[in-house]
Amino acid sequence: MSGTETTQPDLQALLRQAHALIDRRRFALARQLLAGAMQHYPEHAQLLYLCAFIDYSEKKITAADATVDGVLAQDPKHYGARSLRAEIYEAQKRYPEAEAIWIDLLHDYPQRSDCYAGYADLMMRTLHLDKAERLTAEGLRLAPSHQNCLYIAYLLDVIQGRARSQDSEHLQRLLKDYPERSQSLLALVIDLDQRGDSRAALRVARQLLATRPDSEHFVNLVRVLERRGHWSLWPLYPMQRWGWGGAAAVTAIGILTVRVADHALSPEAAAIVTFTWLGYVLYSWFWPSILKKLI
Amino acid sequence: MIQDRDLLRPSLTAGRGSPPAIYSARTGFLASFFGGPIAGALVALLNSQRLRRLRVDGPIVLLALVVSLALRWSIMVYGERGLENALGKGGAMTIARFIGPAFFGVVYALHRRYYRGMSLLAIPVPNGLRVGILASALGLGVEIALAAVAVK
Repeated sequence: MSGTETTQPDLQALLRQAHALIDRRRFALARQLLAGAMQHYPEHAQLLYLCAFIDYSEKKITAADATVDGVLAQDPKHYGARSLRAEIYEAQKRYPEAEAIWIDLLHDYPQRSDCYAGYADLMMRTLHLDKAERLTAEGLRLAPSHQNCLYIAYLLDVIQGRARSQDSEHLQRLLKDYPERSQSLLALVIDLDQRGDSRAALRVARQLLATRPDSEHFVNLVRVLERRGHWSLWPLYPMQRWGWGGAAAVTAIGILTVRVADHALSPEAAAIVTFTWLGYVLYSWFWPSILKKLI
Repeated sequence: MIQDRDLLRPSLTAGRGSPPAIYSARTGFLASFFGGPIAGALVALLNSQRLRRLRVDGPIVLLALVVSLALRWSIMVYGERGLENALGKGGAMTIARFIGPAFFGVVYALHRRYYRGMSLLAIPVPNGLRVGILASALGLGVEIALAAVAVK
C-alpha cells in the first residue's frame, strides 16, 4: 500500500459539523473545517455556500456575493445560494432585485415558509406593511410554528399597534416554542420596552449581549435602552411611554397651566411658571440629542 | 400551493434605488406648528407620495386641510373678539396655535404605523430640514394672504 494515498473524508459528516459550528456562531472553526474539506472537494457547491454564509454573517458582503456567484455558476437552482443572494441584495439596498429573487423562490418553493418570511422581512423594511402581513400569514398557514414568520408577525403586531400588553399571540408562540433563541429574547425586549418596563428590557438585552458580545446590533440595543432609562430623562416619561400622544398631552397641559397661571397668580409667579414651561420645552427638544452624543 | 397569487406581484420598482423612508414626525410637527395646517399637509402629502399612497391619503389630507382652514378663517373673521372675551387676551391666538398641532395629530394618526415601523426597524429618516422650512414658509405665506383678505 502506498504511503501517499489519502482517504476522502465523509462529506456529509463534514457538512453536519460545519452546520453545527455555524449554528453556534463558531465561524472561525467552521471556516477552518470548510477550508480543509475544500481541499478534498474543491468547488463543491454546498461547501462554497457555507463559506458565503459565514462571510455574510460576518458582514463581509462583497466576499459573500463573489462566493455566491461561484455557487450559482455551478448550480443555478441552489436554494440556499439564491436566498442568500436575496439577503445580500437587501444588505446592499438593492431591494427590487432582492424582491425578484424572493418571488422566483416562491414560484419554485410555494410550500417553504422560509421564503415567505424572507420576502415579508423585505416588504416590512420597505414599509409595505400590508403585504408583509399577508406574506407572514401565508407562511404561518403552511408552518404555524415557523420561527422567522412568528418573529416578523410579532414585529408587525408592534408596528400596527396590536401588541399592547400581553396579547400578541405571535409573541406567546415564539416564547413558548423557541424560548432559547435570541430572536425570542429580542422580541421579549421589544415587548417589555413597549409596555414601559425599560429596566426589565435592559436586563434581558444585557443577557442577549452576553451571549453574543461581538454583535453590533445588541451593543446598540443595550446602549439605546441604557440611554432611555437614564435618570436625566425621567421628566420625559410621558413622551417615552406614549410617544407623540404623550407629547401632545404634556403640551396641552403645559399651555393650559401657563394660561391659568397668567390669570390666577401674581405676575412674578406667572413669569416663573412660564419660564419653567419654556425651559422644559427646550430641555425636551435638545437634551435627548445631547445625551445621545454623551452615552 | 400559494393561496394569494397577488403576493407574487412585485411591489418595488427596479431602477428607483432604495425606497425612501418618510420625513420624521418631528418634521411634520414643527412644520405644522410654525407653518400651520398647510405646511403640515405639504409634509404629509410628500410622505404619502413616498409611500405611494397618495390616492388613499390625498382626500383625507385635503379634507383635514379644508376643516382646519375653515376653523382658522372663522376665528380670524368672526370669533376673535368672542374668544378674547371668553379666554382673555391672546385667547384667539392660542386657539389658532392649536390648530397646526391638532392637524399634525390627524396626519400622525394616518401615518402612525409607518413612523412606528421606522423607529422599530431603525430605518434612517431623511433630513427634513429643507422640506420643513420650505413647507413652513409656504404655509405662513398662505396664512398671511388669508389674513390680508380677512382684513379687507
